[in-house]
This record gives sequence, structure tokens and C-alpha cells, in this order.
Amino acid sequence: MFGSGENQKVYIRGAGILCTLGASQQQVALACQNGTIAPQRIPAPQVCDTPIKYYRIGEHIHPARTRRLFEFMNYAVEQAMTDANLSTEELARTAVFCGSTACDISDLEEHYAAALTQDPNAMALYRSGFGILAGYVRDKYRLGGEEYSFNTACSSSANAFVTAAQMVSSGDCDHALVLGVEVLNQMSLQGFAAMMLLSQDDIRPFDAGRNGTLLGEAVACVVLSGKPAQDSAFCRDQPFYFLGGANLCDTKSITSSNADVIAQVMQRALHSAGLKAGDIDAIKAHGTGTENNDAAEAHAMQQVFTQHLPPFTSLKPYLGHTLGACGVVEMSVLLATIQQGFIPKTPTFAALDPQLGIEPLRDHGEFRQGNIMLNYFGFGGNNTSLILSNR
Amino acid sequence: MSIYIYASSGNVWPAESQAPELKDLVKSLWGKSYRRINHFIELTLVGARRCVDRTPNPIAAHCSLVFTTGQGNISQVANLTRQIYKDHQPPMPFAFMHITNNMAPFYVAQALGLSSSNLTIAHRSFPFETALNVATLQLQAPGSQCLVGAVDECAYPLEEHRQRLGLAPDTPLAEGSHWLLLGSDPQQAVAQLEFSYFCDARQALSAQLARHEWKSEEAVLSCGFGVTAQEQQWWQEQLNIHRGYEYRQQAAYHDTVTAYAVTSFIETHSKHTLIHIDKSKQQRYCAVGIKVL
Repeated sequence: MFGSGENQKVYIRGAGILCTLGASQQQVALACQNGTIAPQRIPAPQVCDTPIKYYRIGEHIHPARTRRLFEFMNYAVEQAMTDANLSTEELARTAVFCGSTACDISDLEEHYAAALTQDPNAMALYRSGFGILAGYVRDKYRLGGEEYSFNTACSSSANAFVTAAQMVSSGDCDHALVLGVEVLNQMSLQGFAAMMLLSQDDIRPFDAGRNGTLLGEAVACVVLSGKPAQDSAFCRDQPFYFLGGANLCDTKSITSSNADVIAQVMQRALHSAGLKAGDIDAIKAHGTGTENNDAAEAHAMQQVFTQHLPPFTSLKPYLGHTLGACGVVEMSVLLATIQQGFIPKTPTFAALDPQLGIEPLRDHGEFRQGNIMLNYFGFGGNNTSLILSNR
Repeated sequence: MSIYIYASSGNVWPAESQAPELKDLVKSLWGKSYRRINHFIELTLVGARRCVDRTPNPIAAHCSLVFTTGQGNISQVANLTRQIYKDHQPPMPFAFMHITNNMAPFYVAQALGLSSSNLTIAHRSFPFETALNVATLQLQAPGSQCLVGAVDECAYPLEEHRQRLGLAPDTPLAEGSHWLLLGSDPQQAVAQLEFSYFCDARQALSAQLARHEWKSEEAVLSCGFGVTAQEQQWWQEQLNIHRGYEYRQQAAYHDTVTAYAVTSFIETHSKHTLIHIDKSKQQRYCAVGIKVL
């Protein structure tokens, strides 16, 4: 169990984002306000006769065509660092925490595809190592703190965030850049397709007609610090800070989570934050749109929030499932919309599932201040729940 | 807060013409057969079981798990990449599911009946030392425990594997699965984690280490693959440590080999303190201190 306990408060001091909705907090909030849902179709002939829907960052959002992974990371990190306005002295005491499922596979695939055109026996993966992304950011931006890479499937960057918050809180580092990174690659796309987890139409979290998820690419970065930046656009008025979080491994199944364990991880997050269920004002659900996971999450929320279920939403219809990046990506999107005074509706929700008995926001919900719970669940039973507040 | 070590297990398999067959060993250690798991998960299960068998008490269900690797499921990832791009075949569902690195500690948690936090982390140069840092965060509550695993496999052919890792063509390689059980209670501890330091320069690390005092006859120095013989000599003189612990020839290179230095030292020494120093390709330093009780 993690918790900020009696240590110093940890603020979100700045943020940067690049996703299918846009290339800034403002663009992303506006796109959510307009209910933008814009997946493209990506061919994957090995697994599907028809192209697969995917939330790809279009060239109108970022022009990179090659080495997109590193271009995207640079963009999001620089945006967050500018927003947080970290001084050179502060950068010397800044650590980097990176969460990703596919890590640099997109780059390795790009290299391998090009190499195969020259040599049919070219080596797959010209380099390797799961610490490469955090190391890249540390070197490029001359950060003086440590580098940490998290690889816990879809909860990767959520775990990176909670660990970073705990380290800033306890004084192990003064500031932290926390990244969620996931860029289009055939390994993830074809793997999910082979597992029959992809929807043929839309992601419809908690809806009676939900039939699978869709993947997306995004990179987001938040800067954590023991003090809010007065001049940061991101936290000018009511800065968000970390209240607590928990991670719990559900060992019953590799691919699907169990309601009891999800309920437990939410309870532990509440405990570490020093809150009761009634103190939560809104929930960002994981909400993948798959039959079993949405059912488990819905039942878990009902177990924890017995008196009153706060308004909740899933952001995946806007972004796709950005896998290991979704921890920081969905957090950034949610905070961007709260800055504009609302929590986005779940735009594809149409029909109540009587088996679940609950429904996400059908309209944008007004929200300016309060405690929010963010939930993330990954393969390997890796469940993480965290709580932020701007109250 | 003091961090204690209750059990350890260091396991290396020198790389030969092909990966070692571990299916029967996994079955004999765990008393059951695992279907469809890959070699990386087998390595993980073998090391974890051997560590758990040495614990003074049964592992508590709330024991957290911090797992680290340099290369992860490199063999499977390379195979699936070839399959997709060269053979134009989609990945098989179980093969795909198992390439995420946190699947290996999932199986450990499942087999041990753990109901706890389970984190998988990596670092390009110091994965084991970084795991110790993260494990420390898991040990804040009284009576808490954390199982730390450090596992790496080879991908065949080995020439390609060396190339990926940026190693010289004649570098001996090994696979490893090294485990420690940590906690905050001194009762029944076999060793104590004294420190772990990460520094950008040799002088900065030297200054950190100068804050510690060791009895010369009890201190032992070991160095990682990033430290040359000449530099090792410099550290010996600087720290005034005259005994060395040489494990590199026996272990051969893998990213998490520092974990073998620590676990094998605990298994073979008593009343000594190991100071292990390594240097990364980026010229950064890391030192770990372990006192065997």
C-alpha cells in the first residue's frame, strides 16, 4: 500500500499531452467538450480481413512520420517542462518515471521493417532493454534524479505515477517527470486482435451492447513537485495534488480482473488517502468496453460506494485504450477538462446493462473542485487505484 | 528505516548452444506442471521457489513483490517480431499475453498465494539496484515484507543477443534468476541492506561511501562488469578495502548480474560487509552495501 502519509504534499505542477484529441491541454479539453471520437482504420491483414479501428495521432496533430515514438515523447515532455517552469537547479533534482507496455517496440518494428527490405535475414530488434525510454528522457533533458521504468501492462504509468508521488512525498527526489507512453505498433495491435478483444465498431464502456475495446496511441507527461508552480497554466487556480493510491495483484486470472479484488484496491486507495467512500466526488473508471472487465469494475464500484455512487466516466471512447500510457494520459485529459469546469460524459454510452445496473455520465458533468478516484487495471491482474484532489 | 534480508537465492545458467530446459525443474520445485508458459517465466519460477524454500517462516500473503529485468522476455519478443514482419503470421494469443514482463511475477504471486502489490520495473543499467530502491518504499509499515526478483534470459542466436546488448563478440553470457526476501524486522534476518547510492561521477560516489566506516578485515569489495580492473584497484585503495569478491567469471554477463553478486555473497559469507560498485555505459555509478549477519 502506498500513501503520502505525513510526508509533504505532492502537487501536479505541469502537464503535456499528445493524443488523438490534440496536442495541448486546451485542445484536448475542447475536443472532449465537442464529443470528438475519431479512430482511423489501420490495415492488419494477418489478423483481420478489414482494417482495424485505431486511435492514431494524425499528422495534423503532429507531423512526425518516422521515429514517432521519440518525437512524441520530446513533444509531451517539453510541453510539461515548460508548463511546470522547472529551473535548471530544479531539473538537477528531478527524477523520471516512465510507464509503457510496448516500450520502444514501435521504433524497433520500424527499423526491422526497413532492414528486411535490404536483407531478408536482418536481425529482429537491433537493440533491447526495457529501461530505454526513461534513460532517453533523463539524458536528453539532463535530469539529475534517477530513472525508473514500469512495465505492468495497462497500469504501467499509473504505477509510475504512484511511485513517483511517494518518492517526492518522502523526499527521495524533489521533482518527478512521470510519462505514459504508447505508440502504434503491430505487436500490440495484432496481439489484441488475436485475443479477440477488439471491437468491430466503437468502444462502449458499461453499455449493454459493449463488444470490445479499441487501441490508441498517446504520450503524456506530468510534473510532480512538492510545491505548485504559481505561473503554471495547469495548476494556476486550484492545483491538484496526490492524496493516495494502491496497487494489488489479482492472481485469479491473467486477463480479467475480479470484482472483489478491484473493490479491495479502491478501498486501499481510500485508506491511504485518509478518505471514506463518501468523500469521493467523481470517478474516472478504467472502462475498457470489454464484457468481463466492465462488469467486474461496475460490481466493484457498487461494493465500495454502497451509499452513493459518484458520477463516473470512461475516457476510452475519446482516446482508445492507450494501454500502459493510459494512467498518465487519462489523468491529463481529465484534469484538462476539469480546468474547463467539467468531467466528460462517456460519449458512446446508450443503453443501461441490467446486469450492471449503473451508468456512466450521459452528459458532461459540472466539476471544479473535489476528490477524484482514478482506476486502472492491467493484464497479469495488476490493479491500481489512485486519488487526486484540488479541494 | 533498516531493511533486513531473510532469504536469498542466486541462480545462473551459463549460456550454451540453446536455452536450458527447465520444464521438469519447475515441476519438481512447484509440484505442478505449467502449460504454455515461456522460458522467462520458467526462470522466474525456479529462482523464486528456491528463495522461498529458504525463508525462516512461510511468506505472508501481504508480502509485496518487486520484480526487475534488463531485457525481459527478449526471446519471445524477438520471435513474435520475426513472426509478424518476416513470416506475416499473427501472434498466438498465449504467446502475446505472456510477453508483458509482469506476467512472470504474476505466476509467482499466484503460486505463493500472495494478495499484495506487484510491481515490475526496469532500468537500462542498474535494474537490481533500482528494484531495491522501489522495494524500500514497500516496507514502510511495521511487519511488512517484500520479495525482490531479478531475472534475465538470453535470446538465441547468442551473437545477435550480444549485438543487441552492445557487448563484445566473445563476452560470456548467462541467464539468471536471483531473489531476496526483505523486511523491516531484524528477527531471523541473515543480512542487512546498508545502502544503495546512484551517482553521476566517481568522486560523488566516493564521497557518499566515505561517510561509512567498515572494519578493514570485514569489508569485501566486488565490482560489476562496467568497472575495469584498473578502476577496481582505484576503489580498493580509495576505500581501503583489501579483500575482493570475484563472481563475474562464474556468473557471466546478464543485466541483473549484480543480484547474483549479492545473493551468492550472502550464501557464502558471514559477518562480512559487501560493497558492490558498478558503472554504466553512461559513466554513472551505483553502489550497494550488504552486511551479512
